[in-house]
Amino acid sequence: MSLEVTLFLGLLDGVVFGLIMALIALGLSIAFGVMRIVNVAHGEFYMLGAVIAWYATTYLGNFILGLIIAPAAVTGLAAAVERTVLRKINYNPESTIVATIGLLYIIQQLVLAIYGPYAYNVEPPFYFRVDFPWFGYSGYKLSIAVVSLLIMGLTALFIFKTRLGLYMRATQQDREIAQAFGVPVGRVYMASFALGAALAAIAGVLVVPFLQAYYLMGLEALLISFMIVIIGGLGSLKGTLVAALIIGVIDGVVSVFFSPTLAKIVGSVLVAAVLLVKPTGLFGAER
Amino acid sequence: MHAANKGFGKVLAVHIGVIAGFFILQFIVPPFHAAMLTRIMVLATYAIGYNILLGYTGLMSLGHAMFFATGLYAAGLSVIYYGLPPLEALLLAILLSAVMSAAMGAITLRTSGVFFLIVTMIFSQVFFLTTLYFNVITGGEEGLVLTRYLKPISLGLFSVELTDSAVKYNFALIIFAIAFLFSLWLTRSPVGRVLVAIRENEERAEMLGYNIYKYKLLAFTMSGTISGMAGAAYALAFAYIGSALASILYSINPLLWTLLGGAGTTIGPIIGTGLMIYIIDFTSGITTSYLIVVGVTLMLLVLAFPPGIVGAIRRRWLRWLP
Amino acid sequence: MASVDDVILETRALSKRFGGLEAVRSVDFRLERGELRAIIGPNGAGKTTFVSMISGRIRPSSGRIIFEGRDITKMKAHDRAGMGIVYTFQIINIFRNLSVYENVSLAVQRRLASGRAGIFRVDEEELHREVDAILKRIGLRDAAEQEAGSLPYGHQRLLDIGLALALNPKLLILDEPMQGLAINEIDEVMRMIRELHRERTILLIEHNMQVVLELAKKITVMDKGSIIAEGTPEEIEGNIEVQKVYLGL
Repeated sequence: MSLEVTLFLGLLDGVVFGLIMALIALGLSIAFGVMRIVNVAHGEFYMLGAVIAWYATTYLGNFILGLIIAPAAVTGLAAAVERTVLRKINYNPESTIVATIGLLYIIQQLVLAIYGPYAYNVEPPFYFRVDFPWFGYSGYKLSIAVVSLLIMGLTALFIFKTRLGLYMRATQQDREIAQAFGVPVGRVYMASFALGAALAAIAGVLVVPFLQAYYLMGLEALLISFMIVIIGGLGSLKGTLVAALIIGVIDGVVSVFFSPTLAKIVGSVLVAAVLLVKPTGLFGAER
Repeated sequence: MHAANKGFGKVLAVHIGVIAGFFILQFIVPPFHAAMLTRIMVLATYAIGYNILLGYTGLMSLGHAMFFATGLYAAGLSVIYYGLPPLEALLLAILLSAVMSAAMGAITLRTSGVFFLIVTMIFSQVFFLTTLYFNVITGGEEGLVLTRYLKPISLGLFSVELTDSAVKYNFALIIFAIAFLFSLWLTRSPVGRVLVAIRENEERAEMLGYNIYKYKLLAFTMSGTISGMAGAAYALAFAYIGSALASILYSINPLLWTLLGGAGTTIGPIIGTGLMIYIIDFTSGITTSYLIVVGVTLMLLVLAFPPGIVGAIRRRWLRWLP
Repeated sequence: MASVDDVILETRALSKRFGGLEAVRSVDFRLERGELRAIIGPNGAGKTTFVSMISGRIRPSSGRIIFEGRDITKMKAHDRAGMGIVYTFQIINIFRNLSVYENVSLAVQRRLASGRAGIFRVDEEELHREVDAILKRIGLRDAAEQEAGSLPYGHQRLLDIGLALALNPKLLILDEPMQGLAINEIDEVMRMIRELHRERTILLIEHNMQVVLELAKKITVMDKGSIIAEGTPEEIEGNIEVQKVYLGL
């Protein structure tokens, strides 16, 4: 393959990957925006989405069913964690970090015990090739890029057009005032945390047909979404999307020419550069 | 005489007692436990370094594996590729860890709160990936064994071999004692008092005229350097370097050990490390998913036991413990 | 008119905007050395924002701040404290989990350790002497070993002012020091402010008019981010405009 063609392939892979990662980072960002907490187990929700999708597709024979069951299950788990753990520690930022690290290992090790140390993928629900002049590209990959965008759009619609979304924005602005105006902050917190987890789980389902479901896959997703939120500015929707595309393209291009590891190294250099120039992220507000 | 100096004799006695206790234990316990204690002393040194940042400055890092591994690789690689004698390798490793942590601190401390956690984790994870990327040099995941390359430590008239388990034990003890006494000194020094002030109320400390960034950077560098010293000691004492020791688990471990023993206490990190190493050793004999113990312990600590063991003891009985 | 040398602090066209809200609008302000100036004004007049810019806690949107002839507009808060501009917070702000002694010693240590080597070593004898002197002055010597957060409210306020005092400031900014105090506590704090004033310039934000009239020789009135009047207590009391906005008449 010529240089240009490889570059084009890298760009394409990068955009697809970036959009998936944007979905995960968006989940992280929503929970942070509303609750001021960072969920270190966020990558495990993504991994759970993938693993549950594998189970659903393998045992129920239906990928679309997985796309419903996995987010539903993960949402339920997240809501339960929010109620039984995060609420107990009063959403203290550092205690939340420690608790979610604990959750990370608990989920990861349970999956290891039940699902095993294997990496499986599933057949895509449909199969077609998009023929470019130089190579054919998986139509499924292109479709999930579109689906990711669609879900992000729906999320934005939810946040800006529904009552619960309004409550979330109000709580993000000022928790006390929101409470004084009758916003059920407790439920808003639970919904935000669950929504964030659901987005990660959906991303997990979408990738199983071409990435393998594996009990350690959460960490890479966490690392990348951390990079995205630092570069884009945590809590900013626009920043998340732009930063995800930047990180995605870097990942795609550097991966096809060199290696995925080098892509992460380049990404971290970018993070350092952003911190030196604008510590709040490219689109982050003053904090 | 004022209260801060009152009872220092007691405090000093307890700290010397801990070191003396470790010294004496080597003559009492069977070889298996002596080996465990060697490991505990090296890793407790790491926890002591971590605690300077978490316990005494109030900054939680999720990336200290980066400094532990800097010391580990600096010592290990210089022994393997440059044939450096152990003590020279140790000094080089300490120096490089200091440089590394100062540089990383300068960047990561531009953020605050949870952002600091995220950023330390990113850099540390990328450091880990870098050790994998250069696996031709580092040995990657499998790692490298130093045994063939380790020269004897020359002590003037005679020399000792680090492969000897008694030498290992006392080497670990010396490293541990240095870090332990340093942390005691720090809690009583003017710098340490300012660090505690930053932990307790950063805004007020700033309005008293303290340059918060500089103090945090100093704490970060001290913490990273001691962590690096522990990493170097690990490489030399156990004659092994490998990228697993740079992985995120090795950033979580000192956090867990420190919280379990009691953050902001000088003795806590040692108790936490010792306890956790024995628990992990015990459970990994039963199940392969022993990391679940790490997860459950962290969860329980946050939910039910925030002050940690020594923290609780201090609160209840021994208020004079530093 | 005072000569330039007597002006310890000056602001020129100092402004602060928070989004669309202009909290402080182009304020020109002069403070003479040795003055005890009070700033009064209704809630939201921009008083705290104004003094926060002087102390360095908030960056101005535009304008300049000059302290002892030096432009300090871009200087960091901790450096300003080192230069002698010391601010006490509107809400009591002390190290609640540390002892009273430790609180004061942190402030004293900062003053003693101005040199570079000072951060690692400090003369413990001198430190102790000075801390003791401050404790005596604020009347908390008997409570030295008590946890600061467990003190009665009025004593916490005294400790807060004691921390400022321990820095030996040239300009002391007190932001509503009487807030939440009982009457006998107010008397005590007033006595202390008077005593402090013998050695230094004080800028006092205060709502309690009685306190202001008794303490200040000159009063600045702010409203909606601007200075609307300035003068002696008598002049201010007689000022119609001030009565309108401030006294609600």
